[in-house]
This record gives sequence, structure tokens and C-alpha cells, in this order.
Amino acid sequence: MVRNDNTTPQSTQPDCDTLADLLPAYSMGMTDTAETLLVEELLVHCPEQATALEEYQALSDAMLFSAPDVMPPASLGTKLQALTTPEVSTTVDSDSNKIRTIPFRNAVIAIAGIAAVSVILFGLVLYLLGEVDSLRDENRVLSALAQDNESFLNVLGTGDLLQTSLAPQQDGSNAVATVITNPQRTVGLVRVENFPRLDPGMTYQAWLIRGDDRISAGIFDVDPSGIATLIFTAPQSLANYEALGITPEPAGGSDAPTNSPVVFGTFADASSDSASGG
Amino acid sequence: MTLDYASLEDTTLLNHIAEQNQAAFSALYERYGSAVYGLAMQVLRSPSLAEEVAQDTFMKVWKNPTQYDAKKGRFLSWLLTVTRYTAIDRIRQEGRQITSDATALEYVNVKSKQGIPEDPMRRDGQLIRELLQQLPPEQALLVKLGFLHGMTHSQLSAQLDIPLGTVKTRVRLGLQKLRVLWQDAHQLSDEN
Repeated sequence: MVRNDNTTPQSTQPDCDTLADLLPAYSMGMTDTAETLLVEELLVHCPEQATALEEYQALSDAMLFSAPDVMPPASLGTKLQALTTPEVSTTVDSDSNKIRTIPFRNAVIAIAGIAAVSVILFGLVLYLLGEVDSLRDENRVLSALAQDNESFLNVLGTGDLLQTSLAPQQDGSNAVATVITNPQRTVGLVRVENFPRLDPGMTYQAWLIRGDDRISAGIFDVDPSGIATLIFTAPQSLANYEALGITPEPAGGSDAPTNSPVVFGTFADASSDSASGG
Repeated sequence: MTLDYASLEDTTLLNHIAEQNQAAFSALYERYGSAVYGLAMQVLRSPSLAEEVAQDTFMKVWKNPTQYDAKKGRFLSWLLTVTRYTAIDRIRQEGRQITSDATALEYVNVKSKQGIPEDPMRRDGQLIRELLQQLPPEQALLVKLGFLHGMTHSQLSAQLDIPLGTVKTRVRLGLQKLRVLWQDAHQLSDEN
């Protein structure tokens, strides 16, 4: 199918040379949206390029393997083990049950008592180790946030800021979000509230919207209160985007939205709806 | 009798992981931990961020092992794709600027010289790594940055302050040359 506008090559003389030029970057995911659309349209008219496409895609697959193996730190294995181990309390309960099955004899009771205390102490040590890990993780997150906040504060200090409210898009939902941007810069902040917790394997993903383009602004999860704050960086200054929406997506995020938005809002004109910062 | 998880195929391990079998998960981590962490390091060039990305990647497998579809290719290809996208997302979340310092990109290569892998795809990956060094540095840099950071022509142009036309030409010439070198290397290997 060929569009009837002057950006599309004539169906009688498809621009297969242009296709050949763009195929390498297309296969690596490095073409811009307009180039991607052009390649996909020209592929229909230039079947002789199919082999080249396959070869470049194989090259792209091989590129994934081009990073050399690097031995991960031991702490990674330990963390994964801790994260995939059933709760400590379950272990203690199960051990306690075993203890209760021991016949009633004084000596055994004494041993069982010592064992029970050992189990409790062991559980306590595990709990405290977990708390230490948790505090370390929290510290790392706070450090990252501090870095993000620093870059965001740089933005706050320049020009008019725009505050945009994102409204719920689903029946009965009271999910809301607020976006703060400086249209002349690329960094923005979105804070969400009353967002439902998602099933494991799912995450929220924010999308900057420009015409038919949906550009990922990042993924995030909400806390038990349904609150989260995301500082994002857009590929271009935020004046280039019209709106922002948030959808639930499979963990790791998607290339394009695959679900209906939870909230959505259009960026207002900076001069008519400026936040107090600046 | 104790099951030897290390000897099980990837798909069998994933079936066990779907039942929250930690021993199967450990075996999978032992098998691919260094490949995942290596790719995360190549993208992020930060041990702490690479560790977090590797952790997120493996936790995605633990939480949802059925996301992998064996009909679409090898498990390791899928796992490395997840790693790459997770790392790219982390770059965007951190708002990190890419670097035009080619030596930074070579850091991981220099630090981890390895023998010849037995796995054909990993051998191919090692070949690509060597062939990239044969490209003109300005082409190799854009190819690596574009692929590893998931950046388009115009994003590379804006971030590196290089004219868009120059970026497109360098990427095209670099990838065309890489393809020819790769094909030649395969042809030589077939003849021997």
C-alpha cells in the first residue's frame, strides 16, 4: 500500500537505494520514527532487500552477545538468594512445629528449648541482616534521588514551569497525577497518587505523546499507598510533546503502550498555566 | 536422589522456576549471571548500576518465567534482550548523558579478555567485538552507542552535537563494513 503524499516514493519506482541506506540502522533500532515508517513501507516494494534485512538482523542478534562475560559481585548472588527465599517467619513456624512433635521428656524439653531459642535467634539475625540490606538499598535509592533532584532543581531555577494535571481514564478510578515541566528543557517530574498496586510482572510506564508517537518516559512502581514520583528525561525539549499518559505494562516496560491509560493529560500552554516556581 | 539442576536445559529450569524452585533459579543464575552482568556493565559502565540491572533482570525471570517463548529463539538471546532494555530504561531513569569518550567503551573489553567460548552465538559475539575494532573509531563509536543505549540517529546527533547527516553516514558506513567483515570471517571459517 502506498500513501498519496509526496513523502512516499512512487509505486512504480520505489526508492530502494534509500531503503538499502536505512536498513543497517533500522535493523539495530537506530532509525527515527519517520525513517522506520519509510523503511517498513519500502520493504514491500523492494523484495530484493529482504536478504540484506535478514543479515543485518542476524548481525543485531550477534551484537547482543558482543559484551564479554564479567563475573558479577558475590553480593548479587546473595541478594537474589535472599529475594527468592520464603519468608523467615515461615521457616520458624515450620521448625516450631517439628519441635512440638518431640515426646514429652525433661531432657528433650531442655534441648528443644535451646533449639527453639537458637531458631528464634537465628531468625532474628536473618531479620536484622535483611534490615541492614534494606537500609543499604534505601540509602542507594536516596542517593540516586538526590542526584536526580539536583538535576531537577537546576531545571526549576530557569524559566516558566508548567504544572499539568493528569485525569483518571478508567471508570471508578480516583488515580491522579501531576506533571511539572519546563517546556524549554528535557527533564520533568511526574507524581502519581491513588494508583492501584499491579500484579507481579507488571509495572507502570509513562509515555510522552507527540502526534502518533509514544515515547517512553520511564517505568515505575507505586508504594503501598499508591504513590510514586518519577523524574524523567525526554529525548527533546518538552515543548515538543503534547501530552503525557501512564499505562500498566509488562515488567521491564514496552516499546509502545499495550494497555489503556490509567491517567492522561494534555500539556497546557506555559504562559496560561505556570506553576509558582521559576 | 538429588536433581542435578546444573545439567538441565534452560526450558526445564524455567518450568521448575515457575514452581518457585530456588535451586533451579540458582542454577540459571550460575549459568548466565556473568553474561547478564557483562552486558549491563557494557551498557552502563557502572558496577553498582549494572548489579541493580542484573538483579532486576533475574527477578523478572523469577516472577514471570513464562514470559519467555521458546518458539521465538534461544533463552539467552531473550534474557540478554531483557537485560539491554532494562539497562536502557535505567539510563533514561537516571537521566544519564552518553559519553563520546571511546576509551570508556573499551574499558570492559580491556578488563575481561577471555578464551574462545564453546557456544557458537557467544563465539560470534566475540568475533563482532573484534571486528568492531577494525572500524574507523568515529563509526565504531556511533554503532556501539546507538545499539547499547537504544538511541536513534537524531538522539545521537543531539547528544553528541554531531550534524544529523554525519551521524547517518557514519552509522550506515560502519554497519555496512561490519556486515562485510562478519560475512568474510564466516566464509573463512567455513572454508577451513
